[in-house]
Amino acid sequence: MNTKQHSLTRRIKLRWQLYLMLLLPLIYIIIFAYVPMGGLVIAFKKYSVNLGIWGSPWVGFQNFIKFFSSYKFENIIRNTLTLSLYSLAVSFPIPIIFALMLNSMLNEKYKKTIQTVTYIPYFISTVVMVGLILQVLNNRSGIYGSLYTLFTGKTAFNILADGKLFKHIYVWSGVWQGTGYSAIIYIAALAGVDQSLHEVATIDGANRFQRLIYIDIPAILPTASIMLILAVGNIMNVGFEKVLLMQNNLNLNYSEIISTYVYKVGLASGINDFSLSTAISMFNSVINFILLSIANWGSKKLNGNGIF
Amino acid sequence: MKKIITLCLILVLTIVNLSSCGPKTANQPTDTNKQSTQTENKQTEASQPADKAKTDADNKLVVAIQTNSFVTDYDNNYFTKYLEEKLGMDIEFYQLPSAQDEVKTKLSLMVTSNDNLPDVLIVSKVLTPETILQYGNSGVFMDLTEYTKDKSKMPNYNAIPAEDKNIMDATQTMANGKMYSLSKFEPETWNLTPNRLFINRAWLEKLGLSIPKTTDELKTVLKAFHEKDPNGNGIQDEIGVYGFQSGGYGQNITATLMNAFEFWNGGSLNGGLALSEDGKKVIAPFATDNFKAGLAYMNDLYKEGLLSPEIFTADGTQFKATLNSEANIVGLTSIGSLSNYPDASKNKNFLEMEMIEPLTGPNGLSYTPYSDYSPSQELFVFSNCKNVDLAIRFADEFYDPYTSIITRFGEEEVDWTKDPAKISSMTNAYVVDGIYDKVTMAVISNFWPEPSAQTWHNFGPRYASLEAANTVANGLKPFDPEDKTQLVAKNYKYYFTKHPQHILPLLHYTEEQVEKIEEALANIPTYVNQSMAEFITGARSIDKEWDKYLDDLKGMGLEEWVNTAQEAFNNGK
Repeated sequence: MNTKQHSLTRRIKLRWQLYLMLLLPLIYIIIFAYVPMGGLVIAFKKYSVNLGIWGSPWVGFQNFIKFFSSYKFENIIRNTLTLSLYSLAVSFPIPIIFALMLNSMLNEKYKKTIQTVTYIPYFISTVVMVGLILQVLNNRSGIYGSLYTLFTGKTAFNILADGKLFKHIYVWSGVWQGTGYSAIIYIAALAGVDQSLHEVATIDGANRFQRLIYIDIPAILPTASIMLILAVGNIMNVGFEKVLLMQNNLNLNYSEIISTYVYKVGLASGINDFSLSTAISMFNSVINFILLSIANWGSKKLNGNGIF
Repeated sequence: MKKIITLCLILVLTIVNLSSCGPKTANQPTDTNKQSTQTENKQTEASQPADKAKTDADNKLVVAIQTNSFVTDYDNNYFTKYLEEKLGMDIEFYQLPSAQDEVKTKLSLMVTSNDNLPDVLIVSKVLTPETILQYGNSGVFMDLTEYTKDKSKMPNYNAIPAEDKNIMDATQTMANGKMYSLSKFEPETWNLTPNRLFINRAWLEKLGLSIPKTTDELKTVLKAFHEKDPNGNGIQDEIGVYGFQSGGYGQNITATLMNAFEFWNGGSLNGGLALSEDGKKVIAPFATDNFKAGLAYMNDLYKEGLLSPEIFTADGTQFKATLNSEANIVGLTSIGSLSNYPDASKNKNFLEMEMIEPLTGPNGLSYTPYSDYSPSQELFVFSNCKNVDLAIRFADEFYDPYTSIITRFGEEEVDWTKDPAKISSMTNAYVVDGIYDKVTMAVISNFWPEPSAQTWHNFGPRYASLEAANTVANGLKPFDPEDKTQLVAKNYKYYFTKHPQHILPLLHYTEEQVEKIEEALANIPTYVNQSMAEFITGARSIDKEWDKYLDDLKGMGLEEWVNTAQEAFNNGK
């Protein structure tokens, strides 16, 4: 024990510049993540503004029970899971495939152009993005509607009015916006692959596809598994703003998710119930944490890569 | 080593991700403390010069006011100078943000720090009765009940005609029987019935149809609109019924049409609750058979393609875009403000439309969403105010008839005039229609829609009777009866009386009551709108799922809500 501590201090002394740099994010996290976590106690209290966090009376699990027995509970959980699993299933593999395709492209100039073009949508802010989606898909004034009317002379079917289509619109617009950006990390990993491996494989008679399977994919596998764990860790955090902005009364049964419900209960309804929204948020984080641990454990078992 | 650092960084990133989702609400109190120290600092800075001039302290008030972008300067302001001179006092401003939710946040931050609060607070339509009661109970606001009853302390307030003063008293009195606010009472008729129906007159004329009076006639008319291509562009792009369900101010056409079946205020007040015919029982109109019949009617229109599902998906921009599309494609819509048609008096599409009376349903009902005029609570006195008498004198001055005109219209003979020689030739829509004899004053400057330092843009208490509001003439532009945008008088005739005799007033719940019904209050109004959308578009079948809808409402606590509302209503009487 003693020698270990001793060696740690020595290591810090040796590379103090690195540790100094680490200090900044560490302080940031302590101030903005760990200190406010103390406020989570209001999930177990009946929070009132006059009495403050510590003065408010304890109510035990009452807020959680209120949430579990709410008529919306099932619906919200189902929607949250549908949206998050669906978008994980689609938006996780697509950037990998896209990166592999870009990597096998021979024309450098063409490759760079495609990369830039697919990268650009990432910089559109959510509000503008949702505005775009709603405008484009409008069945009268949007591109979709105008083209439909131009070719058939009839008014198009209103996609936005069908709640069942909500998840598709949500996920695929996300793919359009995020693919280029998410692919970057894989492209970087692929660029790091030793060219001699490829040369050797070519001499051994491997074709392009075989090289992709046996060289490229194993090369990005560690990166991919870390990214997967991170994505699973965020699984319950479906993009709040985007869903909220895309909601309308016809898709509400399919689009009300935990975070939008928290917002509505806690702030928007005019009767602020901070305790209930904290309880719901906390429930969300706990589930998230469990999922993250499972994914990490699985990933470690499978290929030895984990984050803790 | 490299691996360890990478791992550390990844760990760091994950934690940031994880923690950013959880304790967001918990963050707030920490913020509160930080910002309130800022407020304190600011205040100590502000109070330093005051210490130097302690002799003035006796007649100085610190007024916290919600700022308004139309006011360019509060200190060098005509109205400020007028008040200071008339009351022999000194007003120091503590400027609050202008956006509603920011004012609320700022206020709760100020209150949390509790010392160094200003003397008087002036905000417009920011605080709900529940919040006011909470602040009053916790001793932040001063109880003004005794002052309002005392003629020597508040002469102007007590000079208000009893009928109107009773309404103001009722609004200001909280569930615990105390008054913490002074209100602004300036009734008018235009804003009370925003769900005005507009039908495409040009199409009616083209197809040789007359204006529909009942819901059945409307269906025949809409069918003709839909099938006979009245806009003549060869495409069947005509929309029968168009509106915007989540829009405010009369744009929700489902509420407008529903009122031919059941009186329902669309959820604009008390979450949509109403009173029974004898005015004694609180009822939920959205759980009645008439409501079901209304849904069935709209569902029928939808099935025939006469009611557009875009009503439920459009946003404000799309709504306006559709109303103003190149060839008019809207047959019937419901709007409160003519600003939905930009430059209405010259707007081609608007000139095709004509305002019609509310439709009559199969049971002979013909209502429009309506809520009683309710004064807005605008002025509060903080309980740490040292010079209470001055604060009361200051507050009462707003009810002085002359001052009341100034707060809204600005300087006499610059912005408005009562000079008989000037206004004798003027008129307005109400006078032309014979509702009033003559105009009593005229606006002669365009200061209201432009930023200026003339007034506080009508923030603060005020009293003006309905007659005073309706007999103002526009001195800049002579009244033109042919102008199709002059609808106030017609609106009064068509819509103002179209509501049941007994209207549920704004209910004041006690803190315990709010706690009991808070889930119902948060969920039911949204659930009703959502269900309407689903029933009308056939996503849920009215016949099969209506009982399930009633069960759901029950599960959300409708019964308890109605009972609690009944209690609150009985207490308020």
